[in-house]
Amino acid sequence: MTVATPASDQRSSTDVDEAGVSSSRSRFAAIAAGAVGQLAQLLVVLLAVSLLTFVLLDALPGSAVGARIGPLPNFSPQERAELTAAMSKQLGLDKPLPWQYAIWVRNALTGDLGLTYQGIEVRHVVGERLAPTLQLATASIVVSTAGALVVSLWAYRTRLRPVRGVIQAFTTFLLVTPAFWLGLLLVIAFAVKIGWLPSAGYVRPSDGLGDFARVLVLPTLTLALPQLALFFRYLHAGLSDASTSPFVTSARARGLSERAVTYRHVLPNAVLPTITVVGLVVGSMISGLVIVESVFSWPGLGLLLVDSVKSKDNNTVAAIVLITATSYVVVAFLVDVAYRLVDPRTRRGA
Amino acid sequence: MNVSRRRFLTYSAAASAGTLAALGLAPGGASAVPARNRAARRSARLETSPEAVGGSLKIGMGSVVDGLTPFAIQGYVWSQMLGFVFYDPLIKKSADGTILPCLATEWDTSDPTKTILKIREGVTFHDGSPLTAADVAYSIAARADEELIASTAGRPIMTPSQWVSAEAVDDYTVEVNTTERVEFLVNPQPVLIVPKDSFGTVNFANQVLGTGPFKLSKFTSGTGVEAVANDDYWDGRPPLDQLSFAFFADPATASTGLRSNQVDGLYDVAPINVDAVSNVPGKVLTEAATYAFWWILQMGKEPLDNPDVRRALRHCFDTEAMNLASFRGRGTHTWNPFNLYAGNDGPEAEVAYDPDTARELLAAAGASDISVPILCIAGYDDGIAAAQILQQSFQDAGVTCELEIAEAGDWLDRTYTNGTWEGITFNAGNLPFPSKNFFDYLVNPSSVLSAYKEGDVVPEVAELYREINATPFDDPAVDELLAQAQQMIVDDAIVYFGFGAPVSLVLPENLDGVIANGFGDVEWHKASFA
Repeated sequence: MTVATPASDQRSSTDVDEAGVSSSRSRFAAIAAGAVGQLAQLLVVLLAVSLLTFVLLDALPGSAVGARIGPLPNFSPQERAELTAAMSKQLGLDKPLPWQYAIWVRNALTGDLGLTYQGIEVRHVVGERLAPTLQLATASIVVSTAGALVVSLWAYRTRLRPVRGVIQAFTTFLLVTPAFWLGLLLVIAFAVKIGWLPSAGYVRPSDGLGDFARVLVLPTLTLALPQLALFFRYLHAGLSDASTSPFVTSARARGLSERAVTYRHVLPNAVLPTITVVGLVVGSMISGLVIVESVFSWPGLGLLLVDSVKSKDNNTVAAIVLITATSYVVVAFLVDVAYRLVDPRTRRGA
Repeated sequence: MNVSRRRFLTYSAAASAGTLAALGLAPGGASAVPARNRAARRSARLETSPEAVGGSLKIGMGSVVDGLTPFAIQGYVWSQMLGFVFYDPLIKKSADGTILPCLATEWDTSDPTKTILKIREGVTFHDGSPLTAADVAYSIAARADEELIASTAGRPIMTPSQWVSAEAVDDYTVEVNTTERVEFLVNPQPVLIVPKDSFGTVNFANQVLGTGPFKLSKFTSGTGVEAVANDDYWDGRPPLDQLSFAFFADPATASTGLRSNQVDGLYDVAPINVDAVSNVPGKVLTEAATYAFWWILQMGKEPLDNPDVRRALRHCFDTEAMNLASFRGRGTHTWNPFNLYAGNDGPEAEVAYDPDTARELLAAAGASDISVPILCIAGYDDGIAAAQILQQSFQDAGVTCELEIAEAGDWLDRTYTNGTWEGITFNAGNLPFPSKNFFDYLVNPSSVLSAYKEGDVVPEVAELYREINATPFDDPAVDELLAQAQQMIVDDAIVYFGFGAPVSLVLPENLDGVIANGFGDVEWHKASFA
């Protein structure tokens, strides 16, 4: 009987010496080749995304000039037309769209992302908002992946079927719960009723780690719990599938303990689809951040994006979209690397 | 690798702790609004106790501020809350609409093309430098001169062709020259005074250099701002030692912030949200402004160019239902918006809600088959609720009515920048009432001046509009002109006024001295705990 070889066995069966060195070299070569490919892909994606963003923003109703002048009513139609023309010229909006795009790309290549409609440098505003978003996104992804791993392993290993049922029901609840509602529930429970945590706001880590950790908890949970539920679903299904695979049967037949079977054979194989999902979730996290940052007044890119779209602040929107697209490509690359590290079959073809 | 469960959990915990520690060590900026721990909350309560003098106050704002630049006034919240905390304008408005001196102690507007300002002496900026006429001239130019506006991204107070110059005649006299009368002194988005040539040397995005009653202590973009009392303020040192503002992007978050004692008070609570913040122990609600919503008519096009049609359609306003839907019944309805404000007892229209009457009057006016679209602003749920009721009533009266909800930028362009809207468009805000600007807010210039046709579209309204604009704001003749405007509003239905409702300010019950003039402007420099 031919028994399928699990990823973990292939890795553990690799002999040291030349075979090991060769394997390491091929692994790094594959990763390096992947990095070059991803970099080329990133450039193409950024160019396409920036062009698309530019065109779409231009097509949207409303104008940056209108936002700049504001709703002041004490201008006659002629006066307003004069102001509009003058400010369009100042902002370069009187030029054809391709020309505006070319200027924008040229400036962006030198790190100049333009000014917000309030006259503040976009890189300054976006830079200030980037750190809070990264902090929140990282914390949530750590909590959700670690939590999903613990909960799914617990559900997999427990012999109590009701416990599994409760976990599955709870994760289903988390999956279908809108983020803003979950956030408000947490705020009411932990900020208003119990009073342990602040309901909203942000504290820079440099101003106090303790305070920073306290303001981080509720937005992190709001963002992480639905992700945890999603990762759990994939991980739990992966564990169930892998546990009935022939190589697991083989491992058990060789007399390995159930714990060894789980951690050495089942888990590495079950985790593969989840890596893809984690990558997708991280890449698309900006949509969740928009809601969570609004609910918790967390001064990140999501909140800034909402404000910028509302005020037709095209330069800021374009910068945030570029950052999001870049992060998506980078995460895709990291997922690729993780795949190559975890699954030797992906390295074989490289 | 064989990983035991114990080791796995250890690694997971270590990874989580490491990540959090790494996040904690991430480089941060210079400022923050610290979340309060229990001890801090106890301390805050002590500070706000009746025995305390000075103390600190933290107010939640229903708006997120990204930068503190005084040139690009960021809407009403910035100008009316933060603007007057750090900066001083030239003049202020009292609760009865009287213009009060601030940094300008006197003004002469008798010459339509020349405004002469006398500047207050003995005023210093936060860096200790004295205020002079040159600073004021620069600050005005930053909002009017095309080149300076381009560099400061300032919000203009006049057009390039109206602007001539602003010059310091002596240390405390400024002469502003324009090509025609421009009422920049009473502009609803005021000129805030900064030192001469400070743009470029001061990073106004996150720094402050004004003459206001409080100095900037910390600013975190999008999160909040902290200020400390300006010991050298020309109107006396503010009693409060510290004043801070937390920005809330969502009304629900703001109310939970108040209930969880994260903030001591809230500014700009809309009538529809008052229930969520009423009955909080130790807090009182104060009326900060009258939030008004009204409907601008496109009188430049058919069918609203016909006064009979405009009058007939007034019978479609189910004001009782609108009040309930938009303001939970807290609103006050009037057809003459002047009557919303204390001391005004102008004419009032008696119009009963009755779509059948509207249908009959329209038929009599030869306008049985008309279409009146409604344009609303996304996010203004009170207006949208009222618009939906109005749409139904229009249809009951046989009027074809499309309701469109536009994003704010689109609405702004169509209503003001291009003036291309049809039918009626919703508008709302804290009216700068009863100053002369009021008429501009109610009657959009593009619907009565020559935006669409040769000559004036509605000559009698256009004439009144021009006359009001040509009269100095401090000329007693303005009152007479505004009285004519009220009569015209009532007789010819040149605006459909909806409601006025209180905008609430939630404050600690032992806080006195907060000045709210009823138009949204709030001043904190006299505030103190009892």
